[in-house]
Amino acid sequence: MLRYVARRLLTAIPVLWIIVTITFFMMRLAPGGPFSRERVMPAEVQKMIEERYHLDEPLVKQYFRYMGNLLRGDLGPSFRYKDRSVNEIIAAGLPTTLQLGSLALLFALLVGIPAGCLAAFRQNSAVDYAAMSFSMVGVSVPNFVVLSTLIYFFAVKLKILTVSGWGRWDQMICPVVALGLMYSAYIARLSRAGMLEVIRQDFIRTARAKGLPERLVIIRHSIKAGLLPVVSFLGPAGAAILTGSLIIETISGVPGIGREFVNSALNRDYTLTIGTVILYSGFLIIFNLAVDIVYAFLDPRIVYE
Amino acid sequence: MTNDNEKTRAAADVQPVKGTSLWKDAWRRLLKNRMAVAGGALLILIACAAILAPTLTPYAFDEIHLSDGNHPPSREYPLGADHLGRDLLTRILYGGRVSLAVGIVATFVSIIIGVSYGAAAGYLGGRADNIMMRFVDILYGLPFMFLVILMMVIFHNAPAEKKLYLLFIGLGAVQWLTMSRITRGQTLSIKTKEYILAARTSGAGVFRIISRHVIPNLLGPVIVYATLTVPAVMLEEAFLSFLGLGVQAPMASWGSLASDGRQSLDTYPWQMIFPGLALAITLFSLNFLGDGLRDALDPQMKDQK
Repeated sequence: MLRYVARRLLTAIPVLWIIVTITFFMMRLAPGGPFSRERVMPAEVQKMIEERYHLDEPLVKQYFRYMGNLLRGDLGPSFRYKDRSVNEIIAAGLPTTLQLGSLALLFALLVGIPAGCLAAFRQNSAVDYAAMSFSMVGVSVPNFVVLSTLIYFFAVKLKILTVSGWGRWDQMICPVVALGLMYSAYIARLSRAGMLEVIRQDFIRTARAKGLPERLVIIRHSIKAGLLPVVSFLGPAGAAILTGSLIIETISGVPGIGREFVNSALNRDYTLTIGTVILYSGFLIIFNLAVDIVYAFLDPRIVYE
Repeated sequence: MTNDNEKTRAAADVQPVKGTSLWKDAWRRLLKNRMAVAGGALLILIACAAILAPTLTPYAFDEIHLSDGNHPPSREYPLGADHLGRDLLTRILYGGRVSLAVGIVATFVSIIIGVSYGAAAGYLGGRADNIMMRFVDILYGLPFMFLVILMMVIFHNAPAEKKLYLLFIGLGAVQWLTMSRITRGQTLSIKTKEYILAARTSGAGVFRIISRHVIPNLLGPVIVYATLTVPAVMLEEAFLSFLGLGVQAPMASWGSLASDGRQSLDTYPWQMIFPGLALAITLFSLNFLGDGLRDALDPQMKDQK
């Protein structure tokens, strides 16, 4: 198992390297630079700034300089936010994004799993249809529409929640629900399908036949196997919630790292863009690995070599 | 040589007979699924409305009536007007063309890449298969959506038409990975069928076997997955439009209309609600149709995704 984890982490290195390289050169291919949008500067000042950020060097040299710093864990200075390094910006925004993401994921699990299980155990009943229609709505409405609608009704009309900001519960509900809704819908569908598959199996019939109360049949025997599809979905979902939070953070004024990504790319803040891309890829890799490990614990048939 | 050709044709002739019964069977099963039929009918209606847009409304999609800015829904403007007094219904109808085109073309791109890649990997087998699928595994770790965003940012100032092509290719490229996995799995089982052996004995080359015998027989699952890809792509387009990276004004898509309307949600709610609704209803129908097709064509696939 340990060897498996080690090997997975080792294969992550070339992946990250490819991503960094692609992003680095893609950014440089783009027209415009980090300083080209500001007021026209005297040529000398321009030159000094370029020298300071090593923009006057050949691209390949800049690339190796960047990679060298990266190996030491230094993501470089931000081109846009004067006197702030990318490490600092990420350290400042990441906790908020993680908080938003994990609350949204929690919401998705708390709504999705019970809805899916209920639908599976009462297949083709009104509960089933209601849960599945709800989940269909969840996957069909873009999250910025959901968030705007929530804000419109609960903050603007009813005035029980706050329009924007982060920290108090009345600020957090709208973004968390809007971000989590789509995932709760997927989770509901997956857990329903998984449960339906499991409750037809022999060991469930055995459990029922030996007189186990229905509650125990569900809790002790079905849930673990039935929720495997949900677990495997959590890998990509966990990472995708970070991307999704990009929009949510912009609308709700959440001071996270998600909204920095698009802004930095638009501003040609090269280092900050690559920094956020590395962050996201790292999450994707770690989440997928974590899922595979959890899988092995949940399903005794899986053995990693 | 003629003999060879005849044999191949004879081998090919076997499929339509089997194919028709399979398709007929699936068709019958699909018709029984009321939600899927309703979804399909609604989709045809929406597509017709989008195609016939010029005959359905008296306005041009960029026709400005400044004096009617933000006009609420009325007889003149059935769904209201935007801040420039452009008829919202007209814009939604024309926006539907763009949204549907992006969804369909990008899905088509993903099918072409994914199916040829997956079929080649599955059919060649052995080491080629191993390398090709390992490559897909690595790509799964890439934050594709980030790269698409980056690409759209970089070509932010490109002409609107070019950006539309980029959108097609970029969004298609995000989706082909799963498509190639599904195709490969199918190919592995098709490969062992007698008609492939027959084709090979009669001297057909690898390319011919893949294109004439393998691909036509794995279309079922591919169509199912494609129907579910279209809504995913359309959501991604809406997501990009929200960031201002999708289609460009004066062109509009449902996503960009909803995102424009969001800014005036408190005062003129219809400007977001109607485009959002158009998008949601379409995705809703597509999802129901996709689910129905999956149940009809390929009951085995029910638990995937």
